[in-house]
Amino acid sequence: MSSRTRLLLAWTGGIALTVLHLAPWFEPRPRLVLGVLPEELAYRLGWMVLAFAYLVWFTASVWREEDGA
Amino acid sequence: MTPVVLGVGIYVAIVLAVGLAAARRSARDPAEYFLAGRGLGTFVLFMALFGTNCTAFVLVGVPGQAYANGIATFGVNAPIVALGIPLTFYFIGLPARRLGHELGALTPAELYAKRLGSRAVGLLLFGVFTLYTLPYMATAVQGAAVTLSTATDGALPRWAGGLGVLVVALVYTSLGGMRATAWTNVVQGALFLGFVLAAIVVYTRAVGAEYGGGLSGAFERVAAERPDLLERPAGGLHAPRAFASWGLAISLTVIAFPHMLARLMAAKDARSLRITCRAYPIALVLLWVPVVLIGVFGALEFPGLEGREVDRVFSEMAGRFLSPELSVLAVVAVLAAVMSTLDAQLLTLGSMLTRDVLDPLMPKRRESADVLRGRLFAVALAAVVYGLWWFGGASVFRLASVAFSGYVTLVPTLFLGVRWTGFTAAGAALSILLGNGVYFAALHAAGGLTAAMEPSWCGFLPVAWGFVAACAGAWLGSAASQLQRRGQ
Repeated sequence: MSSRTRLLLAWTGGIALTVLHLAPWFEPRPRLVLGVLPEELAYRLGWMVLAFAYLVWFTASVWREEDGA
Repeated sequence: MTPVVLGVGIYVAIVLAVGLAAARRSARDPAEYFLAGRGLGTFVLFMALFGTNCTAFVLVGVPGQAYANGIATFGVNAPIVALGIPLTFYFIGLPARRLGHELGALTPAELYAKRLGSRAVGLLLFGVFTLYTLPYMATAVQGAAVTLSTATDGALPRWAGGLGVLVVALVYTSLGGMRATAWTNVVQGALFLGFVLAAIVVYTRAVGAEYGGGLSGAFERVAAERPDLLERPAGGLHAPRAFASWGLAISLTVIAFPHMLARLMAAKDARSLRITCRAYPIALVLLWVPVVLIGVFGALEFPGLEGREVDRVFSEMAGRFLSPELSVLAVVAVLAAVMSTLDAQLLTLGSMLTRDVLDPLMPKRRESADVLRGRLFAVALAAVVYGLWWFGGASVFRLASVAFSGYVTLVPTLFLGVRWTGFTAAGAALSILLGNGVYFAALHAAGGLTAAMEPSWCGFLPVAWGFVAACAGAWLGSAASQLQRRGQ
């Protein structure tokens, strides 16, 4: 994958995560998902799993070691 | 001797012993004292950043917010921080570490002064860093003093508790500098993280007992008795524009804490920083989910708390459900959270006074004496913080809430200063001055110094306007100085 493609993916991922965080369409109801977690908390934890995956990919692919070497 | 005094005594003995051990490992030169010889490895770096980042507000203030606003308190704070902080570590911390090493800079202000070739920029940064950090330190002293006074039923007066916390932090910071503060942060971070994880297991069992126990039982009880706590409040920080502005503030502000940036400059290598970025979201979930749940469950157990009283929910829950040993650990956890930030702030402001303020005044001074000067400045700062706390009254706390967002006005300078070769000293100066000017004007429009989290123009928080103005100032100032250069 070229560095340009990686940068494009990084920006797209960052913007997508920001939109999903703002989530103006999401109105949590007071019910439990799978009988365990409130809808709001489940959504936020799911978002954090995505953000964590993004960070792992970002620090493996986009991170330029020479920036801090 | 009461269990609280014994527990606090053991904690103090441990942090002093760790500080002493770090002092024996430390050489006597300024780079060693102020930045641990730029040798913080992955684990210590991570714990130093995490411990410094998490203040007593997270342990005590966040449960209070969750008590009032429910589970949505988690979504408004933790997720965006888990993404924003690691990204700022990459975009600002990583090149700052490299440039600090190349330029021989030991403080954040010194780094940007040398990078931009302007002592004025260093002094300006030092001024804003200090303006925003001192009130913060005073609120930390207040948190520790109240915790100790309450835990000892008033036997330890507030003046003595606040003084004691400052003196202990000062002693181990002066003994071993950055290495001592980083090592003690490992102990402190483990203490407060361990406490909240242990406490939430106990609370969940107790709160959910009538509904079959466990997490699902506890949440079923919340859904049955207080379903509003599982919904998102309509106004305040949850209004769309305020929500977006707050996300901007909370994800960008941490990198602009001078004590956080100094720790990043002390990283041993880029790899340590990379692993820290990956581990940060996990640690945030482990800390934030329990503290929010303490507030939500506390709303079931202690209904009727209002205003500032909601901050009592942390101690009320501990008092009702925890064993005497864990109750003592609750007090120690709050002290650990306070001191893990306070020590870093004392060290970094002391180092900036030594390096950035003395440089223009004493350009031919002996650098080898900078360690002693750093220690003396730390003592002076501790005295100022104590005085500010004792005599400043409510205005100090108003300033602290203004400071949290105010740091964001420095982010364009911190970012462009290490990432854009076209960025100039004029750009930095205009960015900082314009950003802060507009931030305070937006604050005024929102209602004054108590309105940092209230909507300002067009429904956005003051921080959003300050940030936009700082970006505009950075570009305008740099463009103007480049045009001037071309014209010459």
